Amino acid sequence: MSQSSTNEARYQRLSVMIVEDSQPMREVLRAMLQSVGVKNIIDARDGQHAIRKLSEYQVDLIITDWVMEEMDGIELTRWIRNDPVSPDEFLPIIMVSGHTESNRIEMARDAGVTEFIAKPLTGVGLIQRLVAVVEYPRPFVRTDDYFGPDRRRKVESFTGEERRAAELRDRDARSA
Amino acid sequence: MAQPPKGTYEVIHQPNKLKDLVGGPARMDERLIAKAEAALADAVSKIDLAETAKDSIVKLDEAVERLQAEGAEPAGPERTIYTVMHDLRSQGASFGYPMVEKIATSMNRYLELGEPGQRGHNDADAIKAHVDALKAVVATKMKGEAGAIGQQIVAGLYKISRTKSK
Repeated sequence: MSQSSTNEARYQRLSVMIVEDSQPMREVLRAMLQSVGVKNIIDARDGQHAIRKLSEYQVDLIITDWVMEEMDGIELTRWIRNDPVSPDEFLPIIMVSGHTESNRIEMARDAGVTEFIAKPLTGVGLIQRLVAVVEYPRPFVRTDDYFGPDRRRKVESFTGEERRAAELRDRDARSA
Repeated sequence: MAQPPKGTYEVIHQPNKLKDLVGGPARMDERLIAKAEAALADAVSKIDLAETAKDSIVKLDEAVERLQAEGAEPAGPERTIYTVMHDLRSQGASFGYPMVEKIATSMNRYLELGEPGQRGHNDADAIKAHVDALKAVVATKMKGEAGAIGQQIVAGLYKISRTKSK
């Protein structure tokens, strides 16, 4: 078995919940996850819906949008980290958002998000975060006013793939 | 002498459940990235924003109507508009409608100048101008940058969103 197919097979046992109020964006995320081998994918349309589904399904990883009308991704993250009835306060949470300003990203970190992906999505961005949550999990920290992944960890660098991202951007620019 | 940390501080090292599930190292590799990029391109090609945005436009129209109603309480509709526009901004960027992205960005920049409702529904005209422009772009399937006319529309809305503040 080649390294690539081994890598692909690795994700098939993961159960991933997508929390996103936009159906087309859910479809895109689902297609990307399936392409890299994820088989168990649970959809939720907002934070409240996700909480209900978390009581029904075993989930290993959440990928959530930020802005949603009923209950947003920040509120959902705080609930998972701090609510007494949360099924897993250590659940890895990848936030996907169009909010890319540094103060917004800090807000997400302060809520207890594990990793952050800026929209629009890219294959590199998604896989980089999947690798990060599997290979480089953060220790958790509990203080008087915070519980969640250690916010001090530096982002791991993937030199080769950054180059790939630049190539893809160049390709997109050429085809635009 | 070092000061002791204020309050409590506990570091918890959890067993790596994800690593156990994947059963070995997860690595970045070009083939996997290419598969994800291909899946992304394929999924995007099947999505017609002009169709998928229909429900969003209904929500925007209803919210504008509520804003314009006599004695309206603006917080609720403005929050709806912000949420819907945020979603459309991402969809515009992802699905080949940069005009939608720009109009939605302008709208939310305007709304972010105050908490929802703070600015009051005197600004309903500015909000409606954004919603109408977005509807026109979607109705005419105006993909890409839409040339000089598109730039003029966006520039006009940016001017409103930057200057018409209280």
